Amino acid sequence: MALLARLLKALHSANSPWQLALGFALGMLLGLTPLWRPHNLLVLLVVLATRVNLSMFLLGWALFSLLAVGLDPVSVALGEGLLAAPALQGLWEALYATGIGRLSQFNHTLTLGSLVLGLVLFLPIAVISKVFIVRYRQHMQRWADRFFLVQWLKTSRAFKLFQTMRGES
Amino acid sequence: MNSIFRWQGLVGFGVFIATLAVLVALFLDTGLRLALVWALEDVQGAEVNVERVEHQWQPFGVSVYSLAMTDPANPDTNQLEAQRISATLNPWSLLMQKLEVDQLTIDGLALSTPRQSTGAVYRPVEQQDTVSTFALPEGAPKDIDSLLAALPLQTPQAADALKQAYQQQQTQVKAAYENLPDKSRIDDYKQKIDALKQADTKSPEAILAAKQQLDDIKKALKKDQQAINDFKQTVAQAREAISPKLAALKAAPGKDYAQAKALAGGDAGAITDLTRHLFGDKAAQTVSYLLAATDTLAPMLNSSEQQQEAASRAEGRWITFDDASKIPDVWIKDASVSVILLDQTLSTVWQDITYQHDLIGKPTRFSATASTSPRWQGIDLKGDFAFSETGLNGQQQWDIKGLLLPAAELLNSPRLTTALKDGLLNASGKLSISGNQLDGNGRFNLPRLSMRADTDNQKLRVIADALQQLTSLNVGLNLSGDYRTPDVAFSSDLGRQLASAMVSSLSPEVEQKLNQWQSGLLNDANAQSGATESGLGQWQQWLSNGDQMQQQVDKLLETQLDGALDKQKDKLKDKLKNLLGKDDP
Repeated sequence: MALLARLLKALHSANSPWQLALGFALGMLLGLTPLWRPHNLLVLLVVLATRVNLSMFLLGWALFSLLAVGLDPVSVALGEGLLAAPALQGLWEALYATGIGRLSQFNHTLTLGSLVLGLVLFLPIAVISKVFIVRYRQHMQRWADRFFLVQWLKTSRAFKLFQTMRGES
Repeated sequence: MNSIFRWQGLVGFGVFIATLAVLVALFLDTGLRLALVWALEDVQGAEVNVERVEHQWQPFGVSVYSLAMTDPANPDTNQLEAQRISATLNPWSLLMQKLEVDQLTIDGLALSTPRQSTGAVYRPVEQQDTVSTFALPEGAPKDIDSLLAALPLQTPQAADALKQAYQQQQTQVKAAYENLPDKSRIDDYKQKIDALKQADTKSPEAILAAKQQLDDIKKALKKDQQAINDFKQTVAQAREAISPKLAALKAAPGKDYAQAKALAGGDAGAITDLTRHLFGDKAAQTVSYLLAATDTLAPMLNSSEQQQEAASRAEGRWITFDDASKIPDVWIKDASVSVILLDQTLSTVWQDITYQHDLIGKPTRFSATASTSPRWQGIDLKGDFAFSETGLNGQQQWDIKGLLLPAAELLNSPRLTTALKDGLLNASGKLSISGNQLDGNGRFNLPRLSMRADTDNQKLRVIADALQQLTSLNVGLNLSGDYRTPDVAFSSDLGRQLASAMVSSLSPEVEQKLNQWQSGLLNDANAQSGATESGLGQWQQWLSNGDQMQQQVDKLLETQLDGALDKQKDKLKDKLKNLLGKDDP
């Protein structure tokens, strides 16, 4: 319910479609990769320091954290393949010999695989989200506003609570 | 810019990071202490106490105060205690998950110290045998008949082994002998050869035919020559197989008698092992100090390597690459460790402690040198070790002069208690380790020794008296086996002296029974060895026959038909001369 309210609130907010889409894509990046990794600090910095939509970020994070359970084997296989690729050995060895490289934990198959998967999906997810948001606002927002559930959500405590928050801009 | 950046968020992030940093700074010492205690307890399997941990940023370092590690085998004792451990580290190496310590200082390191309160044990260890389990010679006199009946004897075993070996070899030797040519066949060859030599062959065809016959005879002779050689070789091998078993049988009655006599006087094995039981623990303790570098540190370093491997499989996998940085995972460049030994402080110096010596190209070196103190005249210990693909390699020497031994209980058995009242120890030795294998020896000399020994048992009184009269003792030490489970063997003449003292206390009746029993053993042994020696005599006779045959065959094989050939050559020459003489003018 909270997720749905969050989604509706974001979709019906004044934020531009790109703000929403990028927030969702950054949430996806955080959700796909293991949480306690240094690169996630960078993601958090970008999310907090730029005007991406926080609700969509949280939504993306929650949704892709769930999806990651099923995607982890794919991420591990991808990381395994990349770390074992003969052509990349020089790069990995050079990175392994640096403090930053070790700190990034790139040599963990799940970390590297999920990060690469997240980066590869970042742009498509952002673009698809943006298209979806634009289409939604053009064709469905007016209809959805009349929908009983949306009306109900708009009057619910949760929605009112969201209305009082200023996290989106 | 305002449309892109969210300044409140940036400030929030800064506040978040700053809060994190403040929390780390505030609770770093506590966190380090908890992490250290947790990690050490995990390794030790028993309670570990750390009073406090302090860190410093410039140069980056950590100090640990009052470390006490409970001995899981004896929770009232600390296996290791240190007043202060201080290390300056390279923080950048920590980022690379490497422990690069520039300087490590350990003050007040002591082993086996009493704890203030009993430590908790999380992983109990199996108790090792202590001196109290030492099987002392039985005090009550044994029934000599039942003792002899139960004695595992070497003589019957040696006799059976010899009999079996002789029968087996006899079959082979006999078969080889029967394969030899008989005398009539050799004589027949001789007659045929003589006939060929004396035959007046006139034509070349006849000469060729005679030569062919001789070649056939020689072929047969060579076969016989091979049979003779085979026979001689079979006899030599049989003798080689029999000789040690015959010698063992001859020696067996003497050994059985000595064993029976020693058992009649007490437990021979126990007595001869008395040195180890009396001084073994103390000597082993000293050896453990001497071998602290390889015996303690090396396995610890090794296990840390294994733990890293084991800990690398959870979700996903940690992959290790060739480390271009060439920095070992653990590298303590310089260390100075002050060890408390017999209430005195002994300073030891270490360089390049690691288990990846191939990366730094140097072994770990250590030395402990101490001049005269109230407890010793001098201590000099030095060595090095390095891990390589072949395992642990290294060497060390030690020389301890005039170490005053403290009074200590040596053996506490219900029937015999012994204690060291006073002693002076000189110890020296050397050790090499190659591919994990120890090879070392040393001596523990106690030029001044005073012992107390008490017993209520009449029979053990002999041992107690002998121990109390000891004023000096030389103990040999031999180290071998894998360095992780070293075999430490002690040798001295103490056990022999005590066994001899106990044997001399045998009653005349027992002596007489033992002598009768020994005669029986000797008779049994002589019967089998006599039969074997008689068989060997027969083999010798067969060998002589074989030698004679060989001589005859060799001589016949040298035979040539030169006479007949020369005769024909001369005839041809004469004919040619006649022909040439007629044609001359």
